[in-house]
Amino acid sequence: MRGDNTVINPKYLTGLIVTLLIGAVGVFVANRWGLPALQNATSDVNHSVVKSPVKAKQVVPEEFIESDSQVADQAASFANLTTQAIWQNLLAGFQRGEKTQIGLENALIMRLHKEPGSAIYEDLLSRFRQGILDTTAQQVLVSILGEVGNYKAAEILMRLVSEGLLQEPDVKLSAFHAISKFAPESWREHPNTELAPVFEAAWKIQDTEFLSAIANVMASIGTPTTLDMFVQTLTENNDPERVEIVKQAMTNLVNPALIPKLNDLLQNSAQEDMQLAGGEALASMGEIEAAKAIFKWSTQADAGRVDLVKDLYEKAMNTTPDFIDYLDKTLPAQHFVSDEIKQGVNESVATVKNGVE
Amino acid sequence: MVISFDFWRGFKRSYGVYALLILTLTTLGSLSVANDAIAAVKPKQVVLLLHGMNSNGSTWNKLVDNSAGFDGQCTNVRDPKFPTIVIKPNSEGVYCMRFNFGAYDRLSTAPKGLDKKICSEAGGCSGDYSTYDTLGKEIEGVIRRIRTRLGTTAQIVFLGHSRGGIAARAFLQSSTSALKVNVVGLITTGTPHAGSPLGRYYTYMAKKCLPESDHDGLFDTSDCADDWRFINSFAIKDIGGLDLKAPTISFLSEISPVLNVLNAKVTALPKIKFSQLSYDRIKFGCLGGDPIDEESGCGYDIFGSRIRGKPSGDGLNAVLNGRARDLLRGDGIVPVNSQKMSLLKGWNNAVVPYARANRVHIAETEQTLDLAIALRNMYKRLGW
Repeated sequence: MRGDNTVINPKYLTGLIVTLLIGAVGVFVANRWGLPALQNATSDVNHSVVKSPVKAKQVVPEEFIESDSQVADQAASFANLTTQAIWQNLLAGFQRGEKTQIGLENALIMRLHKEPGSAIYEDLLSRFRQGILDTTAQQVLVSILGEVGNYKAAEILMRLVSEGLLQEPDVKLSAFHAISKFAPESWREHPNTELAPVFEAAWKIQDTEFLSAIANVMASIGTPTTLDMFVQTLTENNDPERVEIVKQAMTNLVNPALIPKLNDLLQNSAQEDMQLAGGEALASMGEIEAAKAIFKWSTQADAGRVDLVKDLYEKAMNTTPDFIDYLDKTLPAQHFVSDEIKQGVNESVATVKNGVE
Repeated sequence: MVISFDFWRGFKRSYGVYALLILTLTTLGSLSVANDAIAAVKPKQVVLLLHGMNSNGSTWNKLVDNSAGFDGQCTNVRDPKFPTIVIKPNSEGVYCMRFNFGAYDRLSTAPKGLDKKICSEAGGCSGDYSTYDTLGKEIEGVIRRIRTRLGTTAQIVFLGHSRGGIAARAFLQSSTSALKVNVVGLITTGTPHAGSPLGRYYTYMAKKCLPESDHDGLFDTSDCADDWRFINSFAIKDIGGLDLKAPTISFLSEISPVLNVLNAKVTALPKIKFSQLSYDRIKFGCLGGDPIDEESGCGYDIFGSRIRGKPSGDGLNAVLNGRARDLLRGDGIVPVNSQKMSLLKGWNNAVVPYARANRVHIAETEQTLDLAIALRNMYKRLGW
């Protein structure tokens, strides 16, 4: 020891350098094989994800996001404000009649994303209940919930809907957009399953204007519970508008785990609507196993179902190009109970194949 | 506490190891340079998905998730984590990128819609309150970001649905952007290159029915009152996917001055590969969504829906402008000839056309087979 300095004994220096060398070679080899030992800034494979200051999907105008340092600058400019202060400033702006407060909106989105238990959510709901917000403020706040995109935001948005607090046509349009933001951006990477209970609870609301948007988000998440609720709606068959919404929404199901249940609807339903909904959902899914289920069903279908068979085949080939290859290999040798069905299938394949110049 | 050592004494004892260190680092450096050179030889291949009006990047989900599309791999270029996020290509080595238009929708200079309506949504309004210039500028910003991750030599194909195809042309025809050099192909589907008759409805409303507050009486049975009820109805917004108050409706009109200006400069397009998907059988005004009516064959029909709202007779006449509705067949909103950029006056590029029959406008992004075929052929033409 010399004063505050710690001296490395020179006799260990050679060992230290050799260790560094081995490390450097190791890093190089790992990078060559695509392992994320050390990454440079522009590498496009296997990055260790750095936590971002902004979590929202797209909340900053191009001028700000052109440079990532500008995003940080903007975030920093609100760093000294509490979430409550940001919220109060935003509300004060609304009262002054300001139509755009992009910086404050972005800052609030960022905070709400980080603070799912924030009291702001309930305050926002309360202000809608008091009816003191003008149309612009309502649109901004509803869209902020969509941009935040977490469980609490979904819950508050659905309470606004179920309590009938969104009445202006432009606010409703913003609400449709906001609801759609809760659909998974990439189902395979994050199906947003944690949000499903919120929308499944909201499915019971009576305001039919929002049902379609809600049903589409439910379907795009695609839990087994959601499918059970859809099937129940079809089974009860006592609300024509809701039935039509379900049939349309089911074409947005993408969860392959639902294929057996949908297959069961197609194969075994006594109700025409349910069989049709199951078939359309399978045909629209874009999964080869779903298309194969239609194929298998069609081999046993009677001649009276030829129009449905042709419709489902055409849809399945359009959503699942791999199905065409499968049919090319399988169809010639496949026995069908009905010759008319087999002829219909051949016609559909020819139509789809010849349909593109 | 500072860690130090007697450098000179240590160096003398270990110069052999140092020599080895320098030799190793030099070798590794050379290999890295060689590696970069190989990467420079083969530019990254990118498809950039461009959505249309009242839509967003998720409209492409079915294509993205499909094995014939992008195997579930598609990066949001506007994701704040984009600079560091893992970006993977699909099984063919092609990178899919997408984003939501709308970054300029809320600027004070943004165009206003009917009754001076502005965009009041955090995150923008899908580009529906943007000009063609600013939509093109957004694309330029996105390409700049793509280059930071995939290199300045990245080759990009645009796939534009509806107005997304026009936005692509606005960027490509701009005289100012140096980043056009990265774009090697353009595919459009259902794009109203020559505009849509529906845009005339905006002009009609602007001339006859402003302000809305003069026509919103509960018992007002005038044409304008009917038209405002239609514009504000759930059906046209949710089923038809149209916000008829947005200025983009006016810009997409077949009589739009800004579209005419853009089309007059079509010769400014760079010499890249072009493809166009067009649909020709759907009656104009058929928006899909509802159960298909056996007689009309068109789902929600703005000309005659019994259960949904429709424009006034005067409004519909303004849209048709003396033409038979049947002459405007296409995808329900865009007549087939308008979907073909190859029919624009002055067009002088080769275009590979793909024509299909029955597709409503809003569902064109879900036509995986059509899109996959157009993409495969584009890849082939580009030697990807």
